[in-house]
Amino acid sequence: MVSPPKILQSILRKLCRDEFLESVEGDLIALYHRRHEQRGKLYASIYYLLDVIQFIQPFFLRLNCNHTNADMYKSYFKIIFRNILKKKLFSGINLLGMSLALGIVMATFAFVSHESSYDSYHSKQDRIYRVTYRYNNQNGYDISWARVVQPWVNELEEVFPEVEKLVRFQSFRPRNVKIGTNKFREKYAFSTDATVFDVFDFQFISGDPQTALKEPYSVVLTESIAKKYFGENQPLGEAIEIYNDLGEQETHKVTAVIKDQPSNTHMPVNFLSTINSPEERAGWAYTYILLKENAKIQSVEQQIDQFIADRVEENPEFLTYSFQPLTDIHLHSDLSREIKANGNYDYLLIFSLIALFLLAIATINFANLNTVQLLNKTREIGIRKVIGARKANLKFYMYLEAFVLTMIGAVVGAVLFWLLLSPLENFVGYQLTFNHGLLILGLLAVVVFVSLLAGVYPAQVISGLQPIFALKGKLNKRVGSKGAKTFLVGLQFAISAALMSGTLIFQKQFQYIQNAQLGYDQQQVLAIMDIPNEVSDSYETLKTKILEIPGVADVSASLEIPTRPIKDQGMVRISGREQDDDNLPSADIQVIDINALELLNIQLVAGEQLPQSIKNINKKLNESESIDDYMQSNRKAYLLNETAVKLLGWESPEEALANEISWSIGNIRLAPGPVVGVVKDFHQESFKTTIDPLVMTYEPIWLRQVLVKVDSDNYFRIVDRINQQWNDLFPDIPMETAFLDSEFEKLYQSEQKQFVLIAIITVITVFIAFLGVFGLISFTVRLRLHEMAVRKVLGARFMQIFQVLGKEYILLNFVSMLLTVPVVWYFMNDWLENYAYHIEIGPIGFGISILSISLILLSTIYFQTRKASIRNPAEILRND
Amino acid sequence: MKGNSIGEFEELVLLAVGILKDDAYSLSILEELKIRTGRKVLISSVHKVLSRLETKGLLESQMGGASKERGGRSKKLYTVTGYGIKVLSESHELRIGMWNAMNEANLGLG
Repeated sequence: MVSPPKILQSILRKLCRDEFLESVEGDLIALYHRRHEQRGKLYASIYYLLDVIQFIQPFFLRLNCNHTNADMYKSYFKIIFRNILKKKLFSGINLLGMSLALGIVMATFAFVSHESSYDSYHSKQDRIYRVTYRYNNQNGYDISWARVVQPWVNELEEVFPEVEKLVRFQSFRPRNVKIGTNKFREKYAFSTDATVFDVFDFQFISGDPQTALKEPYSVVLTESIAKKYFGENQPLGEAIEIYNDLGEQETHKVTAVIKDQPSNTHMPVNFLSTINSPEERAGWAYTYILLKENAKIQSVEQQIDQFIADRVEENPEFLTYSFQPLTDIHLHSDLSREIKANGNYDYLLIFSLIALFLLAIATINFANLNTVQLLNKTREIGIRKVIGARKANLKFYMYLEAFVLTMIGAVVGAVLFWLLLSPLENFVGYQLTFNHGLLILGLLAVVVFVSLLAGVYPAQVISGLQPIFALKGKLNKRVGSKGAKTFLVGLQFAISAALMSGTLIFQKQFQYIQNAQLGYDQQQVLAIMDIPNEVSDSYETLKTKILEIPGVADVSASLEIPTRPIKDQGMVRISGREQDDDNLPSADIQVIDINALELLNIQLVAGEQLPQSIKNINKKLNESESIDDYMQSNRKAYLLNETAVKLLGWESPEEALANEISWSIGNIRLAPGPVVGVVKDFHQESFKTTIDPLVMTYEPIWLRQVLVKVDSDNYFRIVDRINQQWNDLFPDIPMETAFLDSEFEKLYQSEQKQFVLIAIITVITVFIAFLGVFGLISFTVRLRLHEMAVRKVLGARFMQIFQVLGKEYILLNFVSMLLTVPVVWYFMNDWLENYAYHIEIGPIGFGISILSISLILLSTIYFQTRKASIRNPAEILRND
Repeated sequence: MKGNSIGEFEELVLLAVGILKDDAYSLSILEELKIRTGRKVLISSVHKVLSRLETKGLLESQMGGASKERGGRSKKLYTVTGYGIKVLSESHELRIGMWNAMNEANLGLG
């Protein structure tokens, strides 16, 4: 016969009084059996638990404590709450510190657990890997890509028995969509395999995952996109026009609607369309494999080099494939062309560390203040002892007091966190996903831990107290092992100084990056971004039209806008020089319209800009011609940057001039041409990375960004006019614009945010540390009031009293600061190494933090001492 | 009536014990109350009231009737004491009296 969970039964037996036990137990077992029969085991067990809970009330409980004990606990709570209310300074400092610290620790937990939870909501996450590759030769060409291009990657699925499915996400560039007369430009609109829903978890609102992408020209919309396209109307079965990479309209049928993805995914999706033919299933794609259950990725990794060697004829060793576990992508990947910006593991560590410091400081405050407060409690403890309190009772009382205070702090902290959460989410820009249950459990664990730490010393002292001394209001021991207290306060000074100087160094580096001249003028430049072939074919017409608009100073174009990285790195050949074909030097390519240098104010250090004549020579690609032939036959002229000149082995920019070079990527080779000029190095990307060697040339079919220099303040009107011109020329294509200076600011946005967060937490940490020190000093002063009065009577001057009281703290302060400097210096230097260009750590940051901390400390001691020394000594001494 | 007043729920439990006669124990009383009143009753409150009524001397109990369904545990079987019957009938009479008075008053008015 079945029986209720043993553990619950024994709980009931422990708790319930004997006179009830037999019949109650019988009733509950009978009820359990009846429920078990009707609704099964789980239901019965849950209700059994609820029944047991019903009986946890004083009427039935086996209280081994008699009435005096109950009164004792009542009195404990009463006195604890009275003490909190009476000692406002002490409890205020503790509660403020504890709640601020716990609130921020909770926020940090939410942030860190969001960041580390990326993609873990997919039920097969432990079996999904992203395929990435790296290409490097001995000559510095080295790029690791988040997506793959090799046509044979699809064979992974057939060749390796470990691989169950392979899913490609193609068409990752923003896609143009037309519904009736409405045009949209959609990011994260992938075309993918029908099996995608077998690998990744998408929640279907309507439609069937098995068939959604089976038929060619089907599309699955997310909820918010469906709303954007069709409003409240039912989208299923509706047709939408999606432009393919060649600019042709293709009619797709909506077959399903899925829920929007959570914010913690590295791969946001707006819609998923089908890959419509085997021929289309090629080219660049973010590629994921699902392993079979119990299969190991290591066995694929072991054979992958052979797999590549079988398929690549020339230098297969230059190509390496790797497989990233799905959940590692967000924090540990950071390759070229990630789908969305990655998180930064280092910052997570920094945040966790600072939160830990904050908690440590608040705990130290609490423990220290709790310890010195003992002196105020000796009478109470003495009386309790005389009345018959046992050691164990008093110990419990001390822990209970610490626990109650921490618990109140935790509740206030939780409210604080709750209030902070939505501003924080606005600030970081996405919704935080974290486990609420875990957060509460963690908070409780921290509360228990902190109250044990803060209670252990008082409990120790109290239990050894002699009632006789205690009743006199004295301790038979010296309060607080001096060493421990000194160490803890010193630790607080050290943490404060470390955080402050670290933040100041961070701030200086950040300012340095932000104010650095990037080598071009981004002011008042509007970019029309990522134009499709259709537009770049008619670029010259568009340019003439835009130039007609009043307020437009100049129009140019380029392959990539400044601020965005160029990832097209290719080989450079120098005519007439002996070069090893397998290890050619490599450089980035930037394609520009002739006037781009002027428009962006990029300086030439030698030679001149591309000749106007090159534009007339370069013809358009006609349809019968292959891209190779076209490229080979179009004559070129080149510009280099200073870094490229150095890489290619010329001593000076002048020396590079007139040499003939050519540039190639894969099979595409640009025709050779002379170097006509050398430009001053400028930062294509942010100031965080080094300047790469760069080759610039003119190539009409590779112009992807239109740059418009504006010389009027009326931006809106100009954008509006450009939009009109655009719509006249390309009625079917949406236009995407951005101002370069706002793109420029985006480069540092995440750093800026992180800096602000770190600065705020640092200020709060230092504040809490000083709250604690302030409390400690004011308490010390009060304790030594008599001593000070006697000294004063004997003729001590204020400064002497100040010295007596402050000496210890000031010394402690300086010692801990001196110990901090080398540690901070070491770690910050390490951190600065992440930046290609960084400041040298100077004494200023340390100076400022040491000085300001010392200043706050001195003024705290000063005011406390003053308060004490102003009082008439007679008044103080009279009490004795 | 003064001094030995019982609450409504107590009265219902007492009546249920009377109805169930030889098989009046906590669980059967619970069922009886559920059926007759349609209210949700907690098993713990039944136990509480039974014990309180026993202390007041309105009920007396004896152990017995262990079964497999109860995991071999005995039931506490209750019977209404003479004093209990007296309290019940006093309460009943009080109500009847008041009911009649109300009817008369209303008839008189009508």
